[in-house]
Amino acid sequence: MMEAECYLFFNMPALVIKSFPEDLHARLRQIAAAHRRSVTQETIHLLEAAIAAEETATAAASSSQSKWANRKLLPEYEAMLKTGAFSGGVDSTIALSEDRDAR
Amino acid sequence: MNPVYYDASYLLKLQIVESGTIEVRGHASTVREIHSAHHGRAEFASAAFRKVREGVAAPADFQRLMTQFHADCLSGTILLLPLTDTILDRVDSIFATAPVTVYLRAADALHLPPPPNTDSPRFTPTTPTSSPPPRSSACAG
Repeated sequence: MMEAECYLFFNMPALVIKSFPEDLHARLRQIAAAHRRSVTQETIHLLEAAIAAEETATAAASSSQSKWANRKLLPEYEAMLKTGAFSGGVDSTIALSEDRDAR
Repeated sequence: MNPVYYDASYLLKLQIVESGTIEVRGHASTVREIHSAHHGRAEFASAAFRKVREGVAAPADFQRLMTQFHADCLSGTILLLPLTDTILDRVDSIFATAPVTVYLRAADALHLPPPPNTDSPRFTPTTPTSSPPPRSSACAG
């Protein structure tokens, strides 16, 4: 079983993975060499790509369940927004606060 | 994905473009549905109509905005929660236990009472933030 530990060396985080599979390490070395990177640089590059893909997939899944993100816009409303209507004037937060004060 | 409770200001920031719109729309895209108290509908209309009074929107724009808002209610994107006796009882208890220095307006208080056993965050920029929402699910389109 692989184990990973994080350390801080001179305030820079470091990741040590114990029991790293040998074949995976060999493949990583090959890929790093092909890309003219060190194993460390290649590992960071691959992790960045994998994490970005994971984050994108999570955001997409999240947004697909959001009724707001999938709501139907009425054409007249959409066109109205493009004209800049309602831009300016008193901010709604202030307007509502004043409205509540006046009651 | 949990539902979230917005007060009328957040509802308006969703539907028109003003300060905070990008952030509120971004947040709305991460939640399943949006809840607000029933009286938020009247507050929404009042704040939107003020924009008409101030000359930054035409009466026809107001109608278009309200039509979209009602469509969002009918589709279940926005759920307007009824103001029940239970809610009003909780408002009573909020005032009964509030420190004497608290300035809490009636409309603020109506947005505050969370039912027990709920865990959705509430976003009420014109009021202090309290805990969770969903009292029930009703839409007045």
